[in-house]
Amino acid sequence: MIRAYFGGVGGILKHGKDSILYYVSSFKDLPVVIDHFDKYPLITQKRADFELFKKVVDLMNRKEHLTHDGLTKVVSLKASINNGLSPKLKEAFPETVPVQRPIVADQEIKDPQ
Amino acid sequence: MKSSSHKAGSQVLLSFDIAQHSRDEQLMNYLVSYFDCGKVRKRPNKLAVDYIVTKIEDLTEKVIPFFEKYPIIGVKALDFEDFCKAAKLMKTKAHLTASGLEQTRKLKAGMNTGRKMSTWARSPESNDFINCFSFVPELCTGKIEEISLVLSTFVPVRVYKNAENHKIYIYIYFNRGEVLKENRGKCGVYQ
Repeated sequence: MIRAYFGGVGGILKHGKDSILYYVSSFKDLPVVIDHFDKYPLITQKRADFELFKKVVDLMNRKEHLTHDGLTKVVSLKASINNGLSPKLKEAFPETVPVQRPIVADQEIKDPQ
Repeated sequence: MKSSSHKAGSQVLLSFDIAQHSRDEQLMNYLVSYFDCGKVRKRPNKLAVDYIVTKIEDLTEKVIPFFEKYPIIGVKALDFEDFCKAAKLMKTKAHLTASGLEQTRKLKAGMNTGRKMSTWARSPESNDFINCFSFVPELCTGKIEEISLVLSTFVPVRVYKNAENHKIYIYIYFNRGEVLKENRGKCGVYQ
């Protein structure tokens, strides 16, 4: 249903005993999801994760992630997104300085439609 | 959404809760003014905050109308239906009678964490939500009777019939128009 809503992009995976996961990982499909969350912004602090996520997408759009500096930036962003860096990434990029997370403030509930 | 009915004497409590990480405490406080009811409570570990509405009038006049206006599209919609039933029982004071209390207890037992994954099918005949039981593969003859959309917001199901004519609903996921997977673990028998 959610997948159909997003025009059929992404996939659905089994995720644990009682859960399934909808994911979009194809780079060309990500704008579909980003547009949705730009149109209907999150009102919790998770919005900050989304803003940082978009920065990574911007870097990748400009192919900056292929340079050393760009990759460092991507990892610094990831360090502040969701649960941060995995132990493996931490080991590979021990010098990473996480970027500051934006604070989501003065939210209001707009017409939920 | 949570509802709890406690058996202290014969007390029934119905509450609407929202839990969030304490980083969103400000937003949770905003809910008090948005719904014009309820209160925010910090958990003892301070990691999370809860927004709680327990007053029955607030539930029936503020919270329930909100979710009627903006329906839940996940499986939690079923919990909302049970929640409304419980609110109705309490509003009419039916929960003070023995049979009303029993009804409330039954509702409570089957909702939220008590809900089995398999209990969310909608009967194709009556369009009512039906109560399924855990899927028993041996009961399934594998004969496909029909494919129907049981809940408009959910994936279609295949309906099989077993020897006793029980209907077995099997949820399937579609991938670009094709059947990707049958999830035999999350289905139920409808008697």
